[in-house]
Amino acid sequence: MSVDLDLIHRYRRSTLTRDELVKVELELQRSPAWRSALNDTVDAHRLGATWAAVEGSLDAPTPSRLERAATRLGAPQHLTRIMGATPNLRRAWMVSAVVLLLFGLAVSNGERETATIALFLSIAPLVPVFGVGLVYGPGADPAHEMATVTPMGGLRLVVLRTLMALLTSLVVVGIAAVLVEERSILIAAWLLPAVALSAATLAVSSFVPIRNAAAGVAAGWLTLVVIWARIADDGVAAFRLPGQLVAAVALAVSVAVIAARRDAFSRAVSTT
Amino acid sequence: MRTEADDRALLARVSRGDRAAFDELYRAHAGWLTARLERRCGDPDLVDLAVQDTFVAVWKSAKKFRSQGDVGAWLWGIAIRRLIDQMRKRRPTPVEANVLFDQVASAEDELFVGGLHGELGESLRSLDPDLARVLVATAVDGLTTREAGQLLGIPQGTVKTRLLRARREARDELARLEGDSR
Amino acid sequence: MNRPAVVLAHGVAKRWGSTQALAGVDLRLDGGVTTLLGPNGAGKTTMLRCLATATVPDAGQILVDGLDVGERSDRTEIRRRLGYLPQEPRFSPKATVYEVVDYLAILKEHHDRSRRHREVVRVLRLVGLDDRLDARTAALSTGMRRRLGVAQALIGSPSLLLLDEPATALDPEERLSLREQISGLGASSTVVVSTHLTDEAAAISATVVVLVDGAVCFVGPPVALAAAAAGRVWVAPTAPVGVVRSWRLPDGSYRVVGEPPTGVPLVEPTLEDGYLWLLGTTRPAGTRR
Repeated sequence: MSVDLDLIHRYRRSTLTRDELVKVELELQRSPAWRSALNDTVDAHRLGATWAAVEGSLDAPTPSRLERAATRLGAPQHLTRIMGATPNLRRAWMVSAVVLLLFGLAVSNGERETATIALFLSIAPLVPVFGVGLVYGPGADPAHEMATVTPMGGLRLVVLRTLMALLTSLVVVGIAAVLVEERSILIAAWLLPAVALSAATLAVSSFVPIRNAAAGVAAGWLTLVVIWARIADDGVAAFRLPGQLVAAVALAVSVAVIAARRDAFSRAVSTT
Repeated sequence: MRTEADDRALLARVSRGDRAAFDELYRAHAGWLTARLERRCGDPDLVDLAVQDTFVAVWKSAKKFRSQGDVGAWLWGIAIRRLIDQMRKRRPTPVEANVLFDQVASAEDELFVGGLHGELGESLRSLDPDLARVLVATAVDGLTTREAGQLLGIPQGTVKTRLLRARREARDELARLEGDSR
Repeated sequence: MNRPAVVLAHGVAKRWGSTQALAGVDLRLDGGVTTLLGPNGAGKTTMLRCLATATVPDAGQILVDGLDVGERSDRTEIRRRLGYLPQEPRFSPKATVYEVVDYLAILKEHHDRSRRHREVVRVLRLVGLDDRLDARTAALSTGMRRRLGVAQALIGSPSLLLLDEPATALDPEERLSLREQISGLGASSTVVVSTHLTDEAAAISATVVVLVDGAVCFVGPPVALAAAAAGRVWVAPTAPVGVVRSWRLPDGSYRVVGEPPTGVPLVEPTLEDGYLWLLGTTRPAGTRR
């Protein structure tokens, strides 16, 4: 049946009777000619805007494997995108972390087992510290000034990106941990120090540039581990229960400092 | 004049990643999909987003199309579901009422509709708008009762009871018509 | 459509180290395009940073639609209404044009993917980068990077749009299309553009604010700024001495801004003349800092 253009136009204007509406709907369900006639009634400008959006979506960044995994686990897509958005130097950081850990293990190979574990435990918590300092931290993002003055900017964004550094570290260090032969519970003892040191890095970064903060925290940490080991005559002294308690206290203090200094994270330009 | 064979050839090219074919497919179909979705949803923004999502989905899944089917009907099936998705995202802000039949003049507008026969046509002509909407969503748009409920903003159970009522009334109507003609 | 933001600044002061960048700035903005005009180091960037919540003034107050830039609880709400192009917009070199804007759109709370994609494409179309969506930012020209910076500022049609030197590094054609964009935005937003170019200010703005050494020394329409030099511009056959400014014209004569000697033929002042007169009288060549 030929197309009734009057019906088509009144379909657009919503002035059909019930019978007419039903007729048009059924024609649209099967007739290319009716569809084509209706197709011509829609504003080309409007369709152009939609087409641009379609094309844009095709060029949209493809989520990384990590991002897709997180989304599948139920994380909101926009958050996984923030975390997955190409940070500078991420690959360099991950590769150097693995190399550093493997190098440490290679050096200690053949020595006493405690030495192997001590070395691993001392280096492992520094992986997220450098992740925060160089890859994810405020200031490591070239678009930092623009990102900070968004509603999500400031402390929220900083915490999100720090979590990303921690999560990535977990994967990287996890891979290295498999290669450590010793299977004692101690092998997981780097976790709390890692979180504490990352928080400490953030806390310190509210006073000094984040790279300096990361370097300072790392130096302080290694000094502490060595001195504690000497005093207690135990290579992994800093990772036993008292050490974990110290880490927990350090974490609490750091979080308190971050909360008190949260305005500092909201500034895109440092005052000094 | 477009034919269904043209559309199928076009879609085959799209499934091989041909952007020009995709552009052509969009030009041929985006307009009527937009217009038809607008009869289901009063918010043009949501309609545009649904059309956008439809074509993004088509680009990704053109391969899934059965080579003998009607491309237009297949597109409509995707589009109406994308519209439902968009409307669901809009909650808790109220879902736009389904506007199909809202504008329809009352039943005394007895215009003869040529070529419209069969149970569905007869039912739609005589039914209460609420029942007619449910019938269109399921029989014309091809939705499940659950999807129909989402589109219309009513619980699935309500869709089912209305569908039963629609069928019963349609049967009665048909019986009456048959009785009249005897 | 948005309503333009109302911005009130009162006594805004800011010091960077030993430099007093802002020394008590008062401003009232309510829609339309305003340019901050001033020489380099006059405090334009600092003022925009303060308005953009990128930094907090040492003294004074800035209210955006009644919300206080200095209050933490107000800041997020101000940021929802804000678009900001920093003086030197920088991007991850490996990120694509699309990724950059998409990422910032998420941070601006455009969470729904389809809507966000639409918005990203919309703003990139506005700056003419929609054909470079998958280009890495490292591969863009300086002008394109600045346009990318403008695009991200336009996400969500902010009611307060702050553009720090948007015309820098643009070629003449890009500059023209940017002017057109900015003028159009003045209807629905309060737009503040900083520039050190007088022709830029004349071309786009309804109001010109002249900043010198961190203080406002003129607020008014471009014609009023030009009028400041009325009766003080003339053409002389030889280089004059003891005037505010003078420069050699192509025909060998000199255009002079200053207190005219009696009897010289005066000429119609331009905005640039007015600006130079103002600079010369507020800040005699290099004495104050």
